[in-house]
Amino acid sequence: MNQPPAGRRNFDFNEPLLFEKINEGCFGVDLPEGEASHRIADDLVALALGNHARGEKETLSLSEHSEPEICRHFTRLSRWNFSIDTNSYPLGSCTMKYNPRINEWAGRLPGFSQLHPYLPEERLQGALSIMWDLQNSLSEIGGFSQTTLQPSAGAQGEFVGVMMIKAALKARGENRTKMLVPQSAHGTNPATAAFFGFEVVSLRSTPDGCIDLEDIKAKMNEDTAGIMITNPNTLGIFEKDIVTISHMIHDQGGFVYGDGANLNALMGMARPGDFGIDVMHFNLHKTFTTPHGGGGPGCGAVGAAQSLTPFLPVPLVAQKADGAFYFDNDRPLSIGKVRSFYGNFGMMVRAWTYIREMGPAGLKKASELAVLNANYIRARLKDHYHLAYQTDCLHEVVFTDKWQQEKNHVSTLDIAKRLIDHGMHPPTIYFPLVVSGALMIEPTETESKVQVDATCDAFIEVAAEAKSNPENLKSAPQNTALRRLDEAFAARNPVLKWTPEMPTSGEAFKKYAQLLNGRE
Amino acid sequence: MRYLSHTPGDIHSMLDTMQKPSIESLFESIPKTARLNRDLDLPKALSEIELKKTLQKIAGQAPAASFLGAGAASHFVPEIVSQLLLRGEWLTAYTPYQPEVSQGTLQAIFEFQTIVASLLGCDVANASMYDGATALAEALLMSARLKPNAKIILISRAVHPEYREVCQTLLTAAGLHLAEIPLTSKGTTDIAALKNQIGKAHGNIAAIAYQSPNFFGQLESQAELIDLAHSHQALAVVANTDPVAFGAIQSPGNLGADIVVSEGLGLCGHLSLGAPGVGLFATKQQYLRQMPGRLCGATIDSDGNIGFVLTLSTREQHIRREKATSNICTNHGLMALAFTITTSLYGKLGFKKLAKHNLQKTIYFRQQAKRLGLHLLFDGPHFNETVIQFAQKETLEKTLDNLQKQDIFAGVKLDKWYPEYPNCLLVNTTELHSDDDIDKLTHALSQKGL
Ligand SMILES: Cc1ncc(COP(=O)(O)O)c(C=O)c1O
Repeated sequence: MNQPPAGRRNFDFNEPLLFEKINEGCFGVDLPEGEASHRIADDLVALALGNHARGEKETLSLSEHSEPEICRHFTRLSRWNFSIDTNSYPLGSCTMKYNPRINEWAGRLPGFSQLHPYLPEERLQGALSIMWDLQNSLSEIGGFSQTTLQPSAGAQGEFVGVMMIKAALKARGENRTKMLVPQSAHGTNPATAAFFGFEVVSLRSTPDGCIDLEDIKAKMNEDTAGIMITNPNTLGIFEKDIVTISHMIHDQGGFVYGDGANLNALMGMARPGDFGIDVMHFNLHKTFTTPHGGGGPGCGAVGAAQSLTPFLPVPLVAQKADGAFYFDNDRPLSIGKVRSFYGNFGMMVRAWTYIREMGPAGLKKASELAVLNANYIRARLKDHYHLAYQTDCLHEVVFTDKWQQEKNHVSTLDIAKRLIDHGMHPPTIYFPLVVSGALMIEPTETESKVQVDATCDAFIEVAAEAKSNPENLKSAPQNTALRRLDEAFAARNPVLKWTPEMPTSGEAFKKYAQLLNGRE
Repeated sequence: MRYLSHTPGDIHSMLDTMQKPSIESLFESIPKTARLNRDLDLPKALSEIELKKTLQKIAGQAPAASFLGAGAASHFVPEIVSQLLLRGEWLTAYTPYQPEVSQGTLQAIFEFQTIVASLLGCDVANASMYDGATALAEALLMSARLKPNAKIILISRAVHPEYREVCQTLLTAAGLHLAEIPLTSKGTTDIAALKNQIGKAHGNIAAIAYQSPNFFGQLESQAELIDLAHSHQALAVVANTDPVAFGAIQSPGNLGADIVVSEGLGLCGHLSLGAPGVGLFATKQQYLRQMPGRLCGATIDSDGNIGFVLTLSTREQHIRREKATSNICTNHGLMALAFTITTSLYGKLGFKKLAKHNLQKTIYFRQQAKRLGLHLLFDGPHFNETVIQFAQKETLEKTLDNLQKQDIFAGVKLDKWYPEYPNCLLVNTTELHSDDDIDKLTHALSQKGL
């Protein structure tokens, strides 16, 4: 303990937008030149286009740079990013664990990365075997009878799951109109339910942070399709009544949707399928180390219990008697296709690689250490920040800004921004919405004790500073190239792309943005 | 386990701090009835040495040659793109929710939005969608929000069949009706038939959707289709599966299209069995508030310097919950970055040249094919796809088999989706194919020795 803070000053570079500093006439790709086809005359090319040729006035906002300049541009920009590779990134609900580089190697193997989706199945046996294995491994980890890999991310997995529930109800001749969603749920849950025209019925939690059984009893009925539940929930707390809840929903003919974003707490310890979840999305980009990439791509595989398996999207990978794999499109009750081709195969290879390297014992150990780290943080910080709930947590813990607000008028946002000056990425803030001023910390298992201690030290120092020098928090961050950004100005005066008229100085930019949006 | 750093001593001292007897005791909140009381039934862990050998064996070789496009055409992507994506600062950052420590990702998204808006010819583009197919479905859902009283969407049969399937799934779920516009004998959207359909729908049409270049590589009469939509108070929604075309053809947005979507897969560097690529989504300024997905905007910081943030998030699920324009959260950020780097490398000059090379190769292929007596089903204005029709099924199958034995894949058969076009092969020709490759292909297809 008492190490110097992780953050310090460093030299850095300004880097204008790609379009601002062009090098007229430059380009960064050489194409072959010498073949007969390259001598096909412009008038023949024009003929092929008929009257569809691009007009003289149709400009393209592209750069004019050589490869070294492009390399430097994107290298400089990259340095303005916080990343897991640079320091702890304890964003709650996001599972920012180390992303193994072997995954990247695997995804780039030409035998995977150069496969066209319409190659004949005989030529895709390796890829299909990866998908087959991954379907089965996820089914085993989650306790499901079958898993589709097609959804591109968690939200699309939710879409698939809820659509399957709707299809199953329809197959029974029922048209239920409501969906139960706890107040603590992620925004994608109610957004998904609403897409299907379900009225979202909010569920209360009890003072221990779990869903109120009485509330379910009052609201679950034969008009209700089921419940969308996250377990452990977004407070990091295991829904202790989950088995009872599943029974209550099932008894009334409903289905239980599981949001699997928090599966990192449970691998090898408990399986959602076993505690009554009928259908659940996995986030391979959280639990199974496919990289977040600044916002995706992910993979939101969906596991289903026996009762919902017939409704899974097409195709599933299946195996013939002779051992050959194929895409099974012959699934009459399927909800259909939800995206082009077969889903984010590149991410499947990475997740397969991770699961294969960890093995069953490794995955369990990962969950154990994720929970150990979170509880350790809870223990070290509970005298410095107000704990949202006293109940034991699993892989993440939620604090609030209550004490800092009351005593020093310092908010969660101020705390988050000051953590940046300590070289830390802030936790998830203001989520879940049920906790006022939430600070949601998920360390993950790949942070060492030394690192977790450094994270705690930073939090503790910021809490001390909130008392001694609250202004430092309100004016944070101070160590970053840019200071606090004006999000309200951006929303009021949207400037969503570069134009040749866009000024490079802040003052002139403000006027430009207002003028662009019809303001003086 | 090399990814885990806790020593037994660490664990011991952490448990001490927490006053807990064991790691097991941290899981007490999980009731016994909900627990798994056995080991997961998965294969045992492999070391990196074993893992690499196993993976190499499973992956095998890349195909020797391919003329498969059909919505997943490959283009040349310089090696540096993949190398830059491996920088941990790009690879392992999350969605840029904390702008002060995410300016790299944010500026790159701003650049991406600028490039996409200009390629598609629109005022504004978002920070990416999953793929072209879901982007199209979201575009049609958006048009239904903008035309709340209209329930019908007319979509050309020349739109990628998988895109239509995805739209069918998503739109039906939203209570909308998707009807197909038939094709002319030239492999384009039948405008006369469309007029008929419009007449029958009595103003109940939210959008008219087409693809250009269409699934068969043919260029649609965009201006006419867009005018037709607008003169019937419907939105004109355009799909595209290969934005390289816009280096040579008119951008739909510049012709007045309301929403334009595309798929950037071919410029991201890895086909990876069709994904991940990146869905491109752009529209007119006036429809901004109904757009799905994330948007990055420019703003100023407290010192008055220009910077970037995610903005207009009151459209999105994390703020608006059940009233959001879409449920999308994670998008295809890293692929959007790949797309930005690749298009920036080509640049203004290179991008047009790339499009021209695609045309030259396709013209060359068509010239050679005709010379050798192959039948081109459609011969109108086109980009980089060609439909070759064979007289007999057996000839086609045998030819494909022979080529496959050499690990060469000549094209995509159309009859799976278009029974009206039997014995047809959709052949994709791009800058990646040498004249030699094309000569070999045309000779094989025409069964004439080289
Ligand atoms: C609890 C929870 N549910 C759902 C999601 C949505 O997942 P995705 O971003 O992959 O669409 C997230 C991720 O942000 C989440 O944290």
